[in-house]
Amino acid sequence: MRALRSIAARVAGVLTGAGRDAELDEELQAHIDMLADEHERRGLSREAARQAALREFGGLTQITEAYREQRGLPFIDVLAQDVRYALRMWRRAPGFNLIVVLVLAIGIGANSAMFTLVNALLFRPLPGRVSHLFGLYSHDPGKPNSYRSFSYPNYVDIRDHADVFEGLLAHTFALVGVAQGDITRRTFVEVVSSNFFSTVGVRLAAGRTFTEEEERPGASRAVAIAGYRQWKDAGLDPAFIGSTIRINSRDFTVVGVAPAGFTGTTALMSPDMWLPLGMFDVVVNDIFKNNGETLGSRANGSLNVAGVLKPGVSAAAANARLEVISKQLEAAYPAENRGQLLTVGRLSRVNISTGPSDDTGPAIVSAVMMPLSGAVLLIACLNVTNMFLARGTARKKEIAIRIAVGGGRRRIVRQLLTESVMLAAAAAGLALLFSAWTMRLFLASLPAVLPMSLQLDPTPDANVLFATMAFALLSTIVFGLAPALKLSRPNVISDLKDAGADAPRADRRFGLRAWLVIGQVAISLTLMIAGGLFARGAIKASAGDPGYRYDRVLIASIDPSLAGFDEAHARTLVQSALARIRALPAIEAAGTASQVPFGEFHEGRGVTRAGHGAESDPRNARDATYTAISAAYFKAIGLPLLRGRDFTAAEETSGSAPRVAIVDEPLARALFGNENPIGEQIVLPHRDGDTPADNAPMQIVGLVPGIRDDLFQSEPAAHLYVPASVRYRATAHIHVRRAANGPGDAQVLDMIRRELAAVDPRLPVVELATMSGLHQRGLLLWVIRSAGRTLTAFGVVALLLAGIGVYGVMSYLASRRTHEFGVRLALGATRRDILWLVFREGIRTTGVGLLIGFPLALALAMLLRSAIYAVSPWDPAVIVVAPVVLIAAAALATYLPARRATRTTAMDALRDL
Amino acid sequence: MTVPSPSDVPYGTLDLMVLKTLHAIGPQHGFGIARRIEQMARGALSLNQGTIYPALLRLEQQGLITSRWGTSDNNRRAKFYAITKAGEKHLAAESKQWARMVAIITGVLEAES
Repeated sequence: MRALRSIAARVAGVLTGAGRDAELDEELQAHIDMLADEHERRGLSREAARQAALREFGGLTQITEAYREQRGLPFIDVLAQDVRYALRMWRRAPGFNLIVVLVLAIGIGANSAMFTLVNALLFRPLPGRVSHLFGLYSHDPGKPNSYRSFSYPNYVDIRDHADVFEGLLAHTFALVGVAQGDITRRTFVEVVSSNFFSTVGVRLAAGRTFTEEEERPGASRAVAIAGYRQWKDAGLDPAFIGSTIRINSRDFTVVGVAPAGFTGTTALMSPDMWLPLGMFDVVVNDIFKNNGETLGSRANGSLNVAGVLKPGVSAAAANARLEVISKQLEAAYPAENRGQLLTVGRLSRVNISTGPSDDTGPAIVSAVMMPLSGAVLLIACLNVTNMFLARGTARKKEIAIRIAVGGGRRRIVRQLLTESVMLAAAAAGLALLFSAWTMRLFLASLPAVLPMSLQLDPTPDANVLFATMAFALLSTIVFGLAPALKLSRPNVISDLKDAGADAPRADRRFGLRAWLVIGQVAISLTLMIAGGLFARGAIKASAGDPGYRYDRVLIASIDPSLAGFDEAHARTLVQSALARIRALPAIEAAGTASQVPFGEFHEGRGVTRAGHGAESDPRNARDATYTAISAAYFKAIGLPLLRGRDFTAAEETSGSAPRVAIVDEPLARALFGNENPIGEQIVLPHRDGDTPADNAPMQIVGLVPGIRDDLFQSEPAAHLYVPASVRYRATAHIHVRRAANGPGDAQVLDMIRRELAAVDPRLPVVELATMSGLHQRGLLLWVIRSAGRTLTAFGVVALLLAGIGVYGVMSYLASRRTHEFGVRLALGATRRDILWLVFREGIRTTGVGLLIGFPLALALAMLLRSAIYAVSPWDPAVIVVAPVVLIAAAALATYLPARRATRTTAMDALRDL
Repeated sequence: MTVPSPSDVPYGTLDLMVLKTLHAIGPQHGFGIARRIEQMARGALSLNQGTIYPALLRLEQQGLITSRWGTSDNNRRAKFYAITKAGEKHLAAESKQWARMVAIITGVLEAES
């Protein structure tokens, strides 16, 4: 009790200290006066009495010190003192400190920005109870990798009987078309159970969630919950609830709005809208639908399930209970549930999958990206360390005096560290601003055609703040500790005498400061070269073609399923569209394909030679991209037929699924070596969901060159082409080659648009552009470009910092030799000689830096090359330009102090003695 | 025998002596307390008088004494200190503790080996 009261009193003492000093003085004076009175009464003179009183009282200063220490909390008092002192020092050299803060802010800011991304991806707490969600998974333990999705009836049974869950939700995704002008924009929506939002634990921003009635299979109640951004775009109008949105050519009524920043069960990406499960059969198209079964069928597994465990129930306990339930389900519905075991597992933050997955992928990416920004911070710290050391010479006298009057070394180190911490704190504040601003720029540059929206909040949350403080602290230790320790152990006598700088080194080796600059130059070169190479790679990739030229090639993608047309009707529509376009005089050739190179979706299958019993052995299968095309596709894209023939018009439209195929060179080489593949039979090994017709052998009728599917591929991948009549895919990409001497791209696109509208005004047109236009808007390309831009920015920042560093060190070194220069000048050296002396120092330092940095840079480039083939480490433009720029910067940075050195007069130098 | 200097006074006992003084003579200023302590020690203790001030502050922080500005006998402005109820309790308890400890140590030192 007394201790508490004592501490409270001392805290109060810290705050009110100054005023009480006067009181104490008065009290002590009164005491001494009374003592003096006493002595006077005994007969001493006034003067002598006073002396005696002071002696008897004891050391006045010591008593006052002891009193003050008792009164407050010494630690805080000392800290306050240090802070005040630091501020006084700042006022004396505002320019220096400003540069330090800026430099640090850039370094810390880079890390803060990078961490904001990593945080959003991996660490930032997800809203509601999402972090407490467990995924429910179903697999057959006897078969490897047999995880599968849930059917709605199974989900309902589990939900109603599994008492280990407080709530169990089901969801899946669908790609739908939302009408926007005359283009139908494809976007992802999440189709969810009625308890989705309540299980996840979030409240809607407006309106209501779905009812159980709307969730029922086949309910077909066209309601939707919109994303917050749409409501914001509508001006937060309350009438937004009840308005209609046109999805897949149907009118949906908005009944609710999701909260701001809501991303569902994953981080960062969110669908634009949520629909009830009752609409499943209407909107879920072929990619996500399983064998054409409806939602109500127990055989149709297409839902992902997750839930919150009851409090106190562990995962192990849940699994035990689920094992029992699995057996019950198996017994009740053996056809669909044989051998299935239900388990719970953690949900990934990044993807939605049928099997448990962790986030090691993104974790690894983050682990690679953070050191990059760390390198920038390192350069910044090296820079600041150098600047501090240089400053130290100016403060040597002050520190020497402090030591001479009894200040302990620890006290001085603490004071210098306090200064460093304050600078780092100021820099951290500025860094947060930098980081938020950079994030906003990044978000603004995202391509508008993402089918999902990126929910990234650029304002820092607690994690980011802590991380920023940690970076600041780390940098303080790096740049503050070493100079503080070095400066607090000076040569007191010579410093008091102001004997100028310490004697020039007799040996010509590099001092500490020079090594720091060498380090900066090396790292700068590395970043500059890496950034340059990556940027060049990005340019090459953006210009790159998949294997055929883009000029005069246009693309129109249509997706009849988005308007609710069934397969038969859709095929007819596609045929009409194709016929009309082909009839246009401006068109040389037109053909459809089920996928686009460098596009977002690729379908692949294994292919084997037929016969020899080979088709039953999956090891003989070669993976190939599987594309369904019409006749004249190759003509439209300008890919020559090397052998054999293209598909005929009959095969294109035939209802009897002809068993013919065209392969490309990589696949032919893989399956047949150097033999002629024409006439050979190939087959697709059986896969879940295949009909017998899918696995019938096909005859190869044509051979084409390979093309690349992926910006990241350096070599073309294997392709298998089958007629469009064999394999139905909802989206038809019509590739069109316009005539060379006809109307231009814009006009032909217009013509195509009119033809498509003429086929059926409801036909959803998903894409209508030139191939190069489509390519430029691709997501992967944006990723490569952004990475290139970021690395280049890092490189530029590194260059700037290195320049400042070189300048600082050269100034310091030159100032140290003022005395020497003065003597030389007096003995007859010219100004040019002095200039050259300083310059030589700069060249040596920079040269060593480059020598060290070059191999590092090349090593980094090799590393990058394994990621992006387009990055070539031997790109002369970058390898020559980067060092040249760095040398130029260093030369400028050296020239300025050198010029200052030449203005030394003999008198200046001698005065320094 | 030389007069023990103030540093020989065990830490904490000065506080007790101050409390005892205030208990005995009532509210008093710093000078008076110091003089009184010297008197009570019958001249065997010579204090650097200033050292009671940190002790007075300590006692006040712990709530064992209070302070108030007033006028001394010869019309000087001085700060007067007075013992509180908590101080009285503390004094009584610590005095008993001190006596007990002295008895134990004396017993040990005088025990026949």
